[in-house]
Amino acid sequence: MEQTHGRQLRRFLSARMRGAAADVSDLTQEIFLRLLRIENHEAIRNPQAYLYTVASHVLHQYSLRRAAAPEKMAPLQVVLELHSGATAPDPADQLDTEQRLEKVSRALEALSPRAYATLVMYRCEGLTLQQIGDRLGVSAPMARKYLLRAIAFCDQLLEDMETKP
Amino acid sequence: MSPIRDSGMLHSQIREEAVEWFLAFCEENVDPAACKQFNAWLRRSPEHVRGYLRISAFWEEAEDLERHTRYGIDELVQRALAESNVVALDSKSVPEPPLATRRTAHLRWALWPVAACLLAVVLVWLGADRTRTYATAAGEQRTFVLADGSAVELNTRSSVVVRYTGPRREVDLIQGQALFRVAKDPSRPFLVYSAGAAIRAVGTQFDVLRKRDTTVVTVVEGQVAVSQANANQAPGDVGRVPGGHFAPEPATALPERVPVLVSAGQRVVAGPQALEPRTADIASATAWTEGRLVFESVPLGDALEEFNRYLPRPLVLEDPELLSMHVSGVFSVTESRQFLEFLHRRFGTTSEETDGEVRITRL
Repeated sequence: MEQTHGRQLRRFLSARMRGAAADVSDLTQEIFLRLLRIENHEAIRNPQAYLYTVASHVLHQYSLRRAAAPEKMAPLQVVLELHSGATAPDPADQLDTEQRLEKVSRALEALSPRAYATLVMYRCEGLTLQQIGDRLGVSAPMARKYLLRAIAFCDQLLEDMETKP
Repeated sequence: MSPIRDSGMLHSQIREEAVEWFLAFCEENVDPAACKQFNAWLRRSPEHVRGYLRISAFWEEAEDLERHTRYGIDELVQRALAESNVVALDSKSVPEPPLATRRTAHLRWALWPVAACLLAVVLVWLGADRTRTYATAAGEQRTFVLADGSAVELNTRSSVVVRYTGPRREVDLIQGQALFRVAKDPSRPFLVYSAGAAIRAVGTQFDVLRKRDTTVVTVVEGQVAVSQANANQAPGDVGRVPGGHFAPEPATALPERVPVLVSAGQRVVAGPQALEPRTADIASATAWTEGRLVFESVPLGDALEEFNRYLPRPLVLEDPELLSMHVSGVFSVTESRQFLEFLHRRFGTTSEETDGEVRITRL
């Protein structure tokens, strides 16, 4: 249940968090302030799910605010998507995502075939770090290190692409 | 109140922490104690929240990564293994101590930041010299690791300018409070400038709180030399010449007057009066790094001022009699409600929230 919820939100975020830099910083500030306002936060059992919940509330309200502004494009769809779970992203966005992913994929592959293979095996093939380590002839902690670097590298590259389109 | 960001890019340390946490959740390797830590980490800075959500977003997109790979898994593995074979061969052909051979694979990682920077369209580093500004917003606390391995922990609404240009490591505390953990380097003294004070350290740990006209220096570890800044200079302009640049001074020329040595467990207030180190309560001086405020018989006016540094909407109290009352207690900086309730119980006050402030009055 939480997993689908998290997944849905991550989909939504990936569409929302890219590009509109000014919005993103306002949105994260808002999410942060809401986290601070939560009383009795030490009792939260699953802070990751909690973060996703708070974030989805903020994004939801943001979509509503944008819906109130008539000049904005199809904001209702965004709200519906978030709540129905039906992800029918804008074809233009999709193309954008594809191109970015393509670039990231090439860059990481060129920089480190090991990190690249680790990321693909872990994320797309569902292999465990132990299994990956076995295939690459390294320990599981080392495979984890590859994975960590791979993700950090990709995210940094994506951020560069966002700031310098 | 908008925070000054050096480039808007996520700090690489924050990015790595975010990935660590994200992976821990992927591996379902988060026990209740770690959950608490993660929660505290998120609540320390909006940048942490941003970093984590970025990684979450990437993770979702990365599901499609396979469609962009030109090889099947077996071939990917082959290529990954071939990579290390090449590296191993190369290192064997070069006469090196055996240990170096084993380390070659790890060495690749040492080159990552370089490669990342090259790919990073080289925006941050070009043009900017080695002067960087770090800042926090209301309620935010962040730790930055500087180029030499020294760490600066910034409290709420604080900013520093770090200049690692010449033979010295120099930091201006523009506003707020910072805890410095200085990496040892006797050849490059570490200098902090703040209102009315210049603080010199080699390898040590100390807290600097900049107030309106004075600076409070508390030494946690080691020893620092504190000098009063030149009275002719405006606060914050220590060592600065008009135009915002810094006068090139020889490394030995410390600011005017004889410095006073302050040792671990002591504090000194640098201002118009003579410098006089006194015994300090280290735990309460650095309580802020754990999100706590410690008051020991402090006038309520001062306590409010202290609290307001952390709040986006200030607490306002205009009752002179109440302002001079003394309060004691330990409070969490993120729980201003708790503090308000304490005041309500203690002094029979009530509070009213408006858009811009929280007004406290007596019933």
